[in-house]
Amino acid sequence: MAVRRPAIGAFGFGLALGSLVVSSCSGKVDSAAQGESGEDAPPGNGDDGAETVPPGQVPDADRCAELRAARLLPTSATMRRLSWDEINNAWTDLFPQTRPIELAAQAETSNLPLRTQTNLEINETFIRTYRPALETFIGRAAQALITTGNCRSMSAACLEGELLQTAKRAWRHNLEPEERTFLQSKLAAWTAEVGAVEGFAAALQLVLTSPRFLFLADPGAFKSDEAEDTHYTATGDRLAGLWAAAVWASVPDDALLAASANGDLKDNTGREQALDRMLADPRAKRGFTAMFRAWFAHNQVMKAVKDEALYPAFNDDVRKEMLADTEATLSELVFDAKETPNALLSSSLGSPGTKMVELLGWNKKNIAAKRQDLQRVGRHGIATHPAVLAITSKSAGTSIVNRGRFVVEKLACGHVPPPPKNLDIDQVKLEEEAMRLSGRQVAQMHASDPACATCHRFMDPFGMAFENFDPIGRERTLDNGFAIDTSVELNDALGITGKFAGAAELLNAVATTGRAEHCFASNFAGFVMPVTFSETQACALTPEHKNGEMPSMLSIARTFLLSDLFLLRSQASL
Amino acid sequence: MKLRFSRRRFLSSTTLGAVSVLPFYKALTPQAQAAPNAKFLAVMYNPFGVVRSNWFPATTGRNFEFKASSAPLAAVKNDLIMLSRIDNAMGEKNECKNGLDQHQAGVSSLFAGANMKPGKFGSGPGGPTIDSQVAKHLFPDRHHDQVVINLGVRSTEHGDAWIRYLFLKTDGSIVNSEDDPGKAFAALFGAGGTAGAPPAPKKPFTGLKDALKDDLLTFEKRLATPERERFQKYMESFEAYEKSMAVQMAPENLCKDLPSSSSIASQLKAGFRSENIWPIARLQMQLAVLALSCGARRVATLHLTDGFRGYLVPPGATPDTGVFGGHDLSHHTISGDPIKLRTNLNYNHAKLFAEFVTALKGASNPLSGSGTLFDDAVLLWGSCISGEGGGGHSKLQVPFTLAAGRNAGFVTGRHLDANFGTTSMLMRSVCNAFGMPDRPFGDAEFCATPLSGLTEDVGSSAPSARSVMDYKNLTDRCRGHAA
Repeated sequence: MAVRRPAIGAFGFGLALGSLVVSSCSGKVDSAAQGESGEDAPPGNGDDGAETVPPGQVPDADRCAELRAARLLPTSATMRRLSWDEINNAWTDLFPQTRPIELAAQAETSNLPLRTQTNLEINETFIRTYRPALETFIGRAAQALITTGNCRSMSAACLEGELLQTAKRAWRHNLEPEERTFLQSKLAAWTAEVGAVEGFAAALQLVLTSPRFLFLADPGAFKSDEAEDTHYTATGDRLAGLWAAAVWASVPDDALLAASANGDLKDNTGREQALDRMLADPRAKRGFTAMFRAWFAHNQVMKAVKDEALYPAFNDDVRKEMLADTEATLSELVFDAKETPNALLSSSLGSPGTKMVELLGWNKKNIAAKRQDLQRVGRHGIATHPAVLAITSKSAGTSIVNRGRFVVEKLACGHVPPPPKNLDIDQVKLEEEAMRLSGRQVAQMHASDPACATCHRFMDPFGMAFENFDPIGRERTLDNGFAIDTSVELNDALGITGKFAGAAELLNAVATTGRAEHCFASNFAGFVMPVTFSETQACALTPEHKNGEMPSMLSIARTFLLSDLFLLRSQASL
Repeated sequence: MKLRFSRRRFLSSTTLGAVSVLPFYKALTPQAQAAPNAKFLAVMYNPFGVVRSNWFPATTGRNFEFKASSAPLAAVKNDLIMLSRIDNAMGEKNECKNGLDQHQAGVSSLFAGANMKPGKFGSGPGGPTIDSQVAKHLFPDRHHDQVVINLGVRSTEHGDAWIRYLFLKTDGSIVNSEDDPGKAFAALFGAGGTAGAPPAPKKPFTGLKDALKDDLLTFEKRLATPERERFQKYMESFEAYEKSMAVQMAPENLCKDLPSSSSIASQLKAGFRSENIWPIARLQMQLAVLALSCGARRVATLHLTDGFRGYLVPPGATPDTGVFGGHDLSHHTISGDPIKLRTNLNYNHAKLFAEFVTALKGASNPLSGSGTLFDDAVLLWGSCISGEGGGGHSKLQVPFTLAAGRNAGFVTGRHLDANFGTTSMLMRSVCNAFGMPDRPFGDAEFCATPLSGLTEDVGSSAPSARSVMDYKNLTDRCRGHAA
């Protein structure tokens, strides 16, 4: 096996969506800077004037070291709307005693790879979901505060205190005098008009329909933001809001805003203490979960439909256990094991549930429903999780293409171009082939077609290696009566050349390329920042290796959240 | 979920003042009362058409006999016009001239009469479909979902998503028909069902909108970069929502027959298995009727999807144990007697449609003190592609049936030979029945006129224009369609 290891600077293009653009399926890097959806890059893309890397060439590693020191900053994205996840979490955090409403489940149709102004619009569709849900939720919350919470006395002072406290956190800053006056006057007027409970509820609704809640401000968004030389700095309240969204996918807590009010977030020591507290808080798992969902889309397993005749026991209980297995494992790898991104390619940890163990035919004597090493059932990284295997399969059969693309695009941040627009697919023929051949044979037939060969020969081996898993992630030895063959050969795909016996060997080879590190860094940065990064800035996304060791995922995230790239914005756009 | 058309909201509107309600109500009246005067639209769809020889009657006019698969329609013969020799011409063009996928070309063109939406495979109709066009006409400033209930019926595995891309809203977004009767019920009537009385009237509160406006203004002034456009959009959306809530307080939107829905609520526990396809289809049909009857919606669609495998031939059919997909069945690539199975399947489609018409005839009309819902209704049923011998998915000679009440202006009780008219022409005629200005529906190429013969007691439409499509230039495959 030979691995061509790319230098760090090669990851600079289109990083916010975490993908390299590979031209002609050759594994070479192209300079296109569009996302998976084909949409233009969102606003905020910094233009640092750095030299560009010619397509297919990798810059010298020293070049990146040089660029790291250049302190080139992204420009401000000014404001973006909160995502549904963030809204959901904020409501829960603000009113922990109130039964939550599953807003995201009903409103988010797809995972967002990037939380930008473009992706997160406020329009009538949003309002039509948001307003009635808010009305219902706040009705419950106000009742809870008054009947069992802090304001059983229903005194005006108590209601006002609760309102202002809520507003401070929801608006992500210590309130200014005019904001306090505004809320106090509305509360007084409305409680007089419609009574204490309804007036209080209306005032809470005002807090949560305000743009101060629904829009997250970037440094440089407000006139009051003072510029330092050539840039704006996220200080105090602004940083509290940005970190709360990035780490907790929610709003700040009282302690964070108090730290801001005390000036503790102005220096590095105070920032590090505050951020470490946040990363150690259980809410951080929620934030990373949202990031991983946007990256892997593994939560789509809840919508995965499988052939009932073939998989009658693949039901919602199993789907939930598969999702829980993957999300618990990811949290374990990030927070407990403090693993490097390569663990996403190779870890055999898992937390299966009982119904999942039963369905997958695992030996219950050896594998109980708990956290454990699942190497014996073929687990080797996220791509072998049943949740991922299920979403990358069809309902009655596997999909070599989907599984191959998952490894190439999701785990290695490579890119497979879409099929040509004028491709004439004979659906009937495809189905006929699928009925009489194995998936591998069908894939090999397609790869022999000159129109399909280039791309399929590049990506299909990455999927063939997983053919020993059926559409729900169960191990198998036969496919349509043919013996499973997971051996694959790569020829300079993702810089890898060689023969591999199966998924484990193949994923280990991908791990040696270092792509997982940059893929994690770019996905994390792309998710928590509403901007894209230039090639130069991308060099700074990952910390320099100490003693040649790859840093942990948590360390990469922490370093980024304390870095100039996160804290500072160029004035260029203002 | 709240009861969107609750008495509470209506009652509160009376104290809220006529200001918010009356202008809309007045604005609604002239358009809604234009003649002809259809006021409710229901659309039903099934994929993969029929076996033509077992579907289309042999003779036209009033004296005709239904065939084996269309036999259930006899129960509502006087209420419908059965159409034959009608082409989904835009679908044919999309496949044969534009080179698009033969399945999606048919699906996405049928109710839009337009080119398939540009983009990747299966991106949907290229223009608003008839449900959203009628809704927009009836209520120009309401959101699609406030006027239309899009219901679906799917098998356990509903196959690739493209087969579901049938309807498009006027805002350009694809309709995702609600497959779950429970969720559909909740969307219409609230998550708690209808047990018990409506909530007690609540004192209205109107201060939030004005306060938010003040808040937006002061917030915007603090910004370094003008965000006026975004905040203006936010405020407009907010106001549109508030307005729509006020609109739902209008008398026409009161559900007069809500208690009857409790029988539906009791059935919502039905599992989502292939075996329950037909019970679920009936449940969805009843929900559609209830939504129209309550005045909760004016337009309802019932989208029977296929599923590659999983679409059960109903019990009682011969054989009755197979689990087949309509697609496989349409290509005759399954074991057994495909003609017989398809005939049985279409028989049940026809039965459902007949029940739909009967239910509309038995439902109260929220817009009139007397008469039935069906009096003001048009119920359109069709399929996008149809093949005879398992050889493909022709968009020509697709099955279409139109049922209409007495106020819609159609002469029913007939089998009408459409004489190679197009489905776009039929859509144009239906739009006209709602008082919409007479204009081409979708792409003008296949819709120069309305479909003639619908409002006269004749057996055949005027000769129409097979020449609208240049069949000579079709690909070999499509020549086969045209033959």
